[in-house]
Amino acid sequence: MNQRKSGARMIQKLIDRTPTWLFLMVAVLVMVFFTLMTMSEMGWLPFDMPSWSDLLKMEEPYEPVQQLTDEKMAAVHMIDVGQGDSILIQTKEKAVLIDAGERDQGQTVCDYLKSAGVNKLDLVIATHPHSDHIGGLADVLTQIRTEEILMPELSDEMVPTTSSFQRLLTAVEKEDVRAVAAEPGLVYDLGGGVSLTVLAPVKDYDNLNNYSVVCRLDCGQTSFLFTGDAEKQVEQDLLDAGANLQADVLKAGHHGSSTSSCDAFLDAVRPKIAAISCGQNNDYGHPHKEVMASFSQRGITVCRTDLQGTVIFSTDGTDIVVHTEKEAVQ
Amino acid sequence: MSHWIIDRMEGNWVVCEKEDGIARLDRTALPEKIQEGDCLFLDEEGNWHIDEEETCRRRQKAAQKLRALFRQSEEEKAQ
Repeated sequence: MNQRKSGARMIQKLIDRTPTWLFLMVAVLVMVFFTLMTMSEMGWLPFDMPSWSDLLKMEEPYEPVQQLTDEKMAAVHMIDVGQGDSILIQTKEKAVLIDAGERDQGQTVCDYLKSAGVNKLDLVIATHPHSDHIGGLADVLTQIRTEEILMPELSDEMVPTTSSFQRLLTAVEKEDVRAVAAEPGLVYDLGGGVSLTVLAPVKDYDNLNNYSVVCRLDCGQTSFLFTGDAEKQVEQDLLDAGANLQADVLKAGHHGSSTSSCDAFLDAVRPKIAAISCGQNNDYGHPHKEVMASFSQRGITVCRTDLQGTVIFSTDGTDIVVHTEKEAVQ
Repeated sequence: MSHWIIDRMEGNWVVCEKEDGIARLDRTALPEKIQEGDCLFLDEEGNWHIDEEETCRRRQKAAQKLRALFRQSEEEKAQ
């Protein structure tokens, strides 16, 4: 009690001793700073000041599902499905799902789609029939009305014998989903000037990863390239075919494995962001360090589901905003 | 007899589908000529073998179904 009193007395003494002009000066400085900050935010100043949100540490909050707001053209959700791929593309009019992770991730993907307000899929792309890409798709087709499924046309000796592939085909048949063979040049109009163009497979291969459906999403001036598990041979074939590869966001091929992302390909895509979908501490060492080094050398920002959870890119056609479920812990 | 079916190769790992999920085998423990899609079984001595017949049967079944699904969509489109 006594101590608190003496503390208060000391503060009072300090205030009494401080000249009034000093108080005034501090107040004026603070006011000038806030005025400059507001002016900078309005774009009235030729130099940058910290913004109000910086000051208040008000980063755009992550919501499990970022709804498309009026000014946004499209949102691309790289859903955290552990070791595997699952990507939702949402525009004002349409919804497209690329892959759905392993079988045990099917329900996770369904729940995510439902919480994102997706009750119908206009298109599902099964990039290639490995279980970490198609395992969860049968659940999706069963639970969410799907118009069309795009798959690579495989030579007979490459057709998978797995139950996960068999289950997918059964679901396509039972749910009466239109099955279309992926061909370069196929274009899907997703409304509002957003389009999805198929670039690969350009030929037959002896490796299922290389059969991956590769496609690009164009929304105004922004673009995304989705590569499935396509390896270096496909990257070279796309370069040779003169495909339009430049994109702001590259979904790194094969979970960031060194089987993909060759130098010539990265130089043609020139991405600002590389998006990697892989499981935490996965057994395959994805993403591989040589691929991470290639990204770092080129100044490419990396987003990873193993460290950041679900990653959402939203675009108004000019800028891309990134939201992550959690902050990366390196 | 339950088979382990090769889903994919990841480096030195062979990722297999078995009845209750996914399991990995070391490539060196398997016959040299293995390919994706091969149906494997374990003999009494603990060695892995490829069941060519089962592989072929499953592959034909899936290939027929895949072709039928593509054909059906094309026919619908033509109508």
